Amino acid sequence: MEVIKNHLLPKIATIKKIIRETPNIISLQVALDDIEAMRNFIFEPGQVAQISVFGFGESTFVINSTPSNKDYLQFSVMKSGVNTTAIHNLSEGEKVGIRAPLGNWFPYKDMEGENILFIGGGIGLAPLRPLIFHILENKEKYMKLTLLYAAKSPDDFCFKYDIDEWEKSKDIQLIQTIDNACYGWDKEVGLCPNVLEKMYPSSQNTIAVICGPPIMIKYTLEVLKKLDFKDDNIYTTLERRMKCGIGKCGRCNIGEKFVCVDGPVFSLRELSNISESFI
Amino acid sequence: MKTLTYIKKENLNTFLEKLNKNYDVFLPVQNKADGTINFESLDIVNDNNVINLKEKTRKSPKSLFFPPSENLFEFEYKKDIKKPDIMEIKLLESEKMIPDEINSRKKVIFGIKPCDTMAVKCLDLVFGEGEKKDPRYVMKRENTIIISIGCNNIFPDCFCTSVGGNPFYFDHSDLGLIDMGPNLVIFKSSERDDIRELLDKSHKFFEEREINSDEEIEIKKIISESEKKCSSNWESVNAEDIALDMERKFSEEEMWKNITRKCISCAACTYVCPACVCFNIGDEQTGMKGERYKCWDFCTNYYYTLEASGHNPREKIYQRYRNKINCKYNYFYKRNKNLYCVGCGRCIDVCPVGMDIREIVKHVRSLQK
Repeated sequence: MEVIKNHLLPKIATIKKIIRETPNIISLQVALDDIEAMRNFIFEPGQVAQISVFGFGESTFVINSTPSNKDYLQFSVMKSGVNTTAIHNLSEGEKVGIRAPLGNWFPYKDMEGENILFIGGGIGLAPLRPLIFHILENKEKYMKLTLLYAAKSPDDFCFKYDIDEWEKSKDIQLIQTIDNACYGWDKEVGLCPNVLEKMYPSSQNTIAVICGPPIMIKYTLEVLKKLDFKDDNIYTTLERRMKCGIGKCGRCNIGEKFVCVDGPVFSLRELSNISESFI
Repeated sequence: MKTLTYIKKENLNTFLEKLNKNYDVFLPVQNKADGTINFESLDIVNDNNVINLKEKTRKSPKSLFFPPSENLFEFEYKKDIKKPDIMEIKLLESEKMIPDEINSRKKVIFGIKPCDTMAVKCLDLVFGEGEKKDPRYVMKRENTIIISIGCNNIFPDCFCTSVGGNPFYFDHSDLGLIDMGPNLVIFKSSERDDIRELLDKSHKFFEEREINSDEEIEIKKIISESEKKCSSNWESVNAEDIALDMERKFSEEEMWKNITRKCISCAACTYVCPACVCFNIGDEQTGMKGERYKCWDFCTNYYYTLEASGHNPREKIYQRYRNKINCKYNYFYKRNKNLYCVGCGRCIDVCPVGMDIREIVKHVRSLQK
């Protein structure tokens, strides 16, 4: 009888480092215990992983380190449910289970030769991070890069270490905005869609990649449409409650699409063909 | 000249007992105390339980391939005295379970109805085919022989003829039998080696002779009568059309609210459905040891799609019921070219508020748009 792999069996990995991003978000850098498997681990920007804390459960997170990094995989976790709380309670050196890579990825090859507008809200920058890194590493293939990063307050920006670097960089233009003005903030103030409208980016040869909370995606898409972005040129990554991650358990469907295998990256063209709302 | 291979019903019990010596035989067994019929092992048949091949089982036989709960692997935390802060973890794939399955005797499911065999096909498409197969499912499936008996009795909630099947549909059975009064006649036999082996082993129970014209007419009559009766339960639906119609009327929120008003999202329908395949994954831990299990889940539950953030994409009952109906008649048809409703009618039978899936579909279809 042929031996079939159990796709629901995770690999054991060790937490190498924990970075506190905001009061309720941490980033984990984990490496698979199997050194060979870690060295050969390949993923594309946008793909996700299932992280297990044994005894609590398994949840889905995007791999937000750069694909060229072979030392560790990074995940950012907001404390909100049972499993994410268990993850927050772990310390460096402890073990988690990893099933990865799962899902599809950003079609970065198709984006070559275009301007790219990244729009991230809060922890929604995580899925964009590996894509931004990948594109910056291959800067010569792309045109103008812009990142609009929105958060509730200055404390809610993740990846401050990247922001510092991107601020100095000539390769990417960074615009940061917070919901309400606060003392000592000299950048944009206002909700993401409003700031985007004010920026008035040209839709000519431009691809917009957007990720954030559902409500932000909803209104930002409206602005992008107003700015005459075509459905084919807008990409977003979606999330749903997931369990198996391999298109079997049926939980993460939006219409006939499964977010875990047909997504998490979708163009607005694909989404507009589905009757069910993706918000 | 065609031949007729048959087993006399009076010899059936001896045949099954003989079969049970080499195989684990599962078949519809009626509990005398409460009258319920379910697939059970032949071993439990005694004075309180009788074999009942005529009626429909209350629960579907899907649990024989896709158990209500099944361990995926076990884990164990260990503490290293040299590094007291760190918990080591060891995963034990329930390897024990897999060799069990390989070494165990072959299973025979006897007396499964044609509609339930269509549902096995639905399970195959999810767990047994494609890139990421489920190893346990594939093993169970390969280890099982399906012997189906066609339906001479059609019940008021039967509608397999409407969804592409019929009461004598044996395409997904290894052996298809027709009940002809005193005899069970082999109508269709698959070319699987293990079927030939099974028939060889029990050849003395099967009699073979030339078929006469009366019998040929009788077989045709049994088939056409059942088909006629079943198709009078509901109109025939064309899968392609119905998928399109579901798609077109998806956004008719008012209609969906109206037709699902009665639903209390108790999930009895998904529990008895032979083709519902959704499952949940969870962990159970006692002390340092635990296991990850997979268990049946149901899409009509509020918690099914509830996210940790509090956001729920299918918050209302009508949205969840609409998803269920679309899953059966639209989504899976688009993905696998197969309807995920086989017309067994169990959901109609068990619904505590009297929802009828046929009425729902009829309503959707009759809306002018």
